[in-house]
Formats: sequence, structure tokens, C-alpha cells
Amino acid sequence: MRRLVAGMLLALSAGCVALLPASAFAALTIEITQGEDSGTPIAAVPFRWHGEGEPPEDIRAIIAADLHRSGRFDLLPTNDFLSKPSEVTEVRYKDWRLIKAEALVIGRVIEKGPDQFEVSFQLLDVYRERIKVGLRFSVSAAQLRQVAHQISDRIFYEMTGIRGAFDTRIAYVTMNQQDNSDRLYRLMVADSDGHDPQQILQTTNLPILSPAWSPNGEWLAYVSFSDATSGANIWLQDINSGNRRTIAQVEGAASAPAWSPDGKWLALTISAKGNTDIYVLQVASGDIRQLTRHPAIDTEPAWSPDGRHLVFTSDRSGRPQIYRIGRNGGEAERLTREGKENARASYDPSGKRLVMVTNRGTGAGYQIGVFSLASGEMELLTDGTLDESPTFSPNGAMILYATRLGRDGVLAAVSADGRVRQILKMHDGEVREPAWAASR
Amino acid sequence: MSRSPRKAASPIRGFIYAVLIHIVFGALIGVSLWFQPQVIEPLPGKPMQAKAIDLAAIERAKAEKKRKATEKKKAAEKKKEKEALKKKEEALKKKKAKAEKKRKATEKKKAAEKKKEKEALKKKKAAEVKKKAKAEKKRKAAEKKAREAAEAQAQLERDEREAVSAFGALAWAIQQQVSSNWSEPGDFSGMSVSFLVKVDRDGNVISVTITNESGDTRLDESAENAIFKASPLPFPTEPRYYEYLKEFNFVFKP
Repeated sequence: MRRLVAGMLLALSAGCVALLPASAFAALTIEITQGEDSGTPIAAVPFRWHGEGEPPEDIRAIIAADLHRSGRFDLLPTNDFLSKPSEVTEVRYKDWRLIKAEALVIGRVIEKGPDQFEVSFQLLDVYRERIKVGLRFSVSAAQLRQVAHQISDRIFYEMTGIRGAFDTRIAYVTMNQQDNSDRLYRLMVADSDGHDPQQILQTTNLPILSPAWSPNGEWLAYVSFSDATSGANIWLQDINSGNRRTIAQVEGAASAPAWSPDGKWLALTISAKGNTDIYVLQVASGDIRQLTRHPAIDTEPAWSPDGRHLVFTSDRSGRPQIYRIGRNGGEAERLTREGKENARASYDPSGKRLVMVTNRGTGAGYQIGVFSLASGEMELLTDGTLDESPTFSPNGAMILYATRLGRDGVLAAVSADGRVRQILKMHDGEVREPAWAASR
Repeated sequence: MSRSPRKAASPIRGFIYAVLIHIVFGALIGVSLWFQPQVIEPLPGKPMQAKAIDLAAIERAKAEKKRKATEKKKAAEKKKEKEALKKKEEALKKKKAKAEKKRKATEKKKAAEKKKEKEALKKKKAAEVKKKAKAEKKRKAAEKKAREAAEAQAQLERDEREAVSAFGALAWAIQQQVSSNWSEPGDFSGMSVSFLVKVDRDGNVISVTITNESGDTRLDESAENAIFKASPLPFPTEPRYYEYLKEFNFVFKP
């Protein structure tokens, strides 16, 4: 995806005229403008187990999968390791330089007592031969996966300067239909790697759509139906208690909820009187205000990280394209101009990019693209035909989306640079509409 | 050079000869003076014992005697005159000889002096020539030295140019090798970090010194890692290039 720009500079500052002593020479300069397309080579040594039988979790495997999925790291195969240290004193840095690892993760899990484990790790700088970070956790078996994700977060932060987002949760909807009878819809919450799925809500024949995390990670807003005859409405559910309520009784159908960054507002789509527009609702009071007024369909709102703008999908030009509008309304500005259709846009945490579904009109279907607001250019990240519902990870490093694998709808993750793509969930029925929580 | 000692001795010898010749001539002159013939006084004539025979006869005899005496006197005078003349001539001759001798001596002296002068001149000239030759030799040596230095410098410059061009041919490969080892862990657009890299003759990276920090340690460290990971770098095999290429700069400008 990225081209290596061979910007080479061979400069002779002293020139060939003045013959300087060799020690004073050294005017030859090589310029490097771009790194390789794979990530930072990192070696993660299997954590040493001090306990009875088999360890309850393979901490190293969880960390390695996290780091790999981010696209920022090249996990070196354990077969290449010349040694398998678990303590800093056992590390021969030369061994790791030999396989060109830049960083080394070592650790151990000690069974301290019944359902009591001590996990410790060190991240080592192979070339500077020093400890970058080292932490120790005391947890139960059930918390081991989370500890592994926290270690991944810490490593990610140390290596990239970006807050890790492995110890976060995602929400998604599954649909199962058995024997051509009832359709079972489930709202699920899982770890960011798709593990440890928890059911939040189950409905029969009443679809669940568009889950959206509140910024504090305590609430999910989603679209559902009270009964078979009622229109679609927005529900808010406390994921810890399971309590839920509808937020507003509106005429027509409400859909596509989106939380403002401060968590006080919800943008949503309301279809009433044959027109579909964007509205903004104050969560606490239930006051609602219309944002767009256009005979075309305006839907799928998303807030900018600073809360000052919203982007949305509109077909006012004939085909769905992405528009931007101030949070208090005003004139909508068209953002996307390339491609036949662009829809379902949302901001990355920096506010500089939008991720969206794009159809370039070449018959290749729908893929996930990242749109730069500064340049107006779109970069395709996926190559499916029916990729949908993209959502940035809270740190902007990855994108979660739904795609098709054969006849199944599955959940997938792609690194924000498009280098690493991974299917997260399979064999769980039809998986749809993932949403990534801003915090755990 | 080998002739010069003899050359140096010959004027001395000539001088000695000249002195000897002077002495000899001087002696000869002395001797000639010594042997100068003394004027011999003619002995007075013994009076003849006359016995009167006849007056006339006596008279005649007397007259005869007188005539004879006169003649004798005359002869004597003549002789004397002759002798005087002779003497005078001899004296003149002598004088002449002396003058001649003197002249000759002077001439000789002059010649000797001239010779001496000539020799001195010759000597001087020879010394000058020698000096000149020496200076020339010195100048030539200096020239040679300068020429050699210029050649050496030209060679060094040629080496350097060749080294740089050999390096240039490999620069792309070096750049590729380092680029492909650089993981670029983030967006560092607009930043730049520079290193001075020292390599051994096989291109192994010996040291990496940061010369200009980017302000972001992740960029600095990942770039430094990349250089080490890329070691050994593609490097010219020609040993004489090494001096010029043993250290160079790497600039990372994402």
C-alpha cells in the first residue's frame, strides 16, 4: 500500500576539492524516507509456568495475537528463538539481535494459591539492552485474559506512543435462525479480540440494530422494537445491570444512534412523514431537535471527536455520499466525491480521518475505506464485496467491521494502515454491526 | 665532482712553480752579475832602450818611434775606443738583456699573474657553476617533491572520487537494506533524525552516533535499530576506498 519513496541524497559537503583528512571526511549521506511495510519485529517468549499441570491461559499467545492484529508488529516465530528466557538475568541480548528482534517480551505466571496467580512481564529493548517496562499482576484465573490484554496495551503504548486498546470491549449483534422458524437476535459484548462473549439482550423476531457505546462504556444505545407492530425505537441499556429503556417516543421510526463525545447527546435518524433526517437528542431531558431538513434521506450520523461537527450519509446528490454539518445545524457540506456510493462514516480519534463503506462502482461491491479530511483521498483497507459497519478502535489503530465469509456474516479487524486483517468471530450465527467501546 | 680535488690542487702547484721560476731567474740574474767581466787595465808599455845610432836614424827612429808611439797610442786609443765601444755595446747589450730579462720577467710575472687571475677566475667560475648546479639540483629535488605531492594528492582525489562513485552505486542498496529494516513505528512525518555511522572494511556497522535528534525517542531508536539490523551493509570491496567510506551519515526523513 505504501510506496517506498527512494529519496536518496548523495551529498559531498566538502566537495572533491579540499582534501580533508579521512577522519574529517564523512560527508556521504544516505536518506531514508520510509520504513518497511511490516511492523516492528518483536519476540514474545512463552511465559514460564510455575504451577500444577497446565497454565489456565496462554498469556504469550494472547499478547502475540493482540500485537499482531494491530498491524504494528511482526511477531517473530518462537521456533527461531535461540533461548527462552523468562527472567532478565537469563537474557542474552545478542541472541535476539541475531534474529533481528527490536523488542523482547519475557514473563512468568506463578500459581500462588487456589485461583490465585501472579503474572509478571518485562519488555526489553534489545539494541539498548535495557528494560523498557516491567509489571506484576496478582489475579484470578478468570482475569488472566484481561491481564494479557493489559500487558498488550502497555507494550503497544511503549512501542508506539499510542494508548493500547486491547483491553477494551466490543459490542455486536448476532442472528440465528433454526429450522426456518424464529429468528433469534442477540446483543453481545466481548473482549476486543472477540473472546469471552457475553449476551446482553436476546429477542425473538425483533431485530436488534446499530449498537453504540456511550463514551464511558457503561451504556449501549441500540435500535429495537417493543413488539411486532411498533416502529423502531432507540433503547438505552446499562450493560452491567441489564436495565433498559427507550429514550424517546417519536413519530415514525428512529434509528442509527450516535453518542456525542461528552455522552450527553445522541444523534439519531428519524423517519417521519415520508422524510428521513438527522436529529439531536439530549439524553438527560429527552429534548429533541432536528438537525437536517432535506427531502432526501439523511442518516447514519457520527460526531467529530471535538463534538463540533457531525458527518452523515445522504443521497441528496442521487447516490449516498458523506456530508458534514455543524452540531447546531446549518449548511451541510459534501465531503466524498469519489466512488459511486459512500456511507456509514465515522471519525477516528484524531478527527483527521473518516472510516466508511465505499462502493467504487466497479462491480467489486462494498469495501472499507479510510478517507482523509485534509486531502480528500480514500484509501481502501479491505477487499471484500460486502464489508460493512466499520468502527475505529478507541486509539484509532484498528478498525472493526462486518464482512462475509462464504455464506456467513463474520466480524473482522483490520489495522488502520490496512496491513493486517483478521477474522475475529466465526460460527456464531450471523454477526453484524460491531461497535468498539471507547473504554472498558 | 671527482675531478674537483685535482682541480683544487693544480692552482697551488702552479703557484709553487711560479715561485720556483722566480727564484731560478733571480739566481741567474745574480750569477750573471757576479760573472760580469772586469775591465782589464792595459799594462803600461815598457820604455825601449834606445841606442843612438844616427840622428837621422835616430830622428827617424825617433820619428818612427814617435809615429809608432802615436800609432800605438792611436791604436791603443782606438783599441780603447773600441773597447769602450765594445764595453758600451756590451753594457748596452747587457742593459738590453737585462731590460729584456726584466721585461721577460715582468711578462712572465704578468703571465703568471694573468694565469693566476685566470685560474682564480676559473676557480671562481667553477665554484659558481658548482653552486649553480647545487641550487639546480635542490630546485629539481623540490620540484620533484612538489610534483610527487601533487600526484599523490591527485591520486587521493581520484581515489576519493572513485570511492564516492562506488559508494553511490551501492547507496541505493544500502538505503534499501536500512529501509527494509526500519519498522517506522508511527507517523513521524516532518521529523528527521541523523546518525553518523561507522563501518568496518566488510560493511559491518561498528557504531551509530546520533548527530541530530528528532525529539521523538521512538523515531530515534527505531531508526538506530534499523541501521544495526541492516548490518553488514553493502560496501565496496576495494580496500583503498575504505578511508573515504568508513563513516557516513544516515538521515531518516519520514
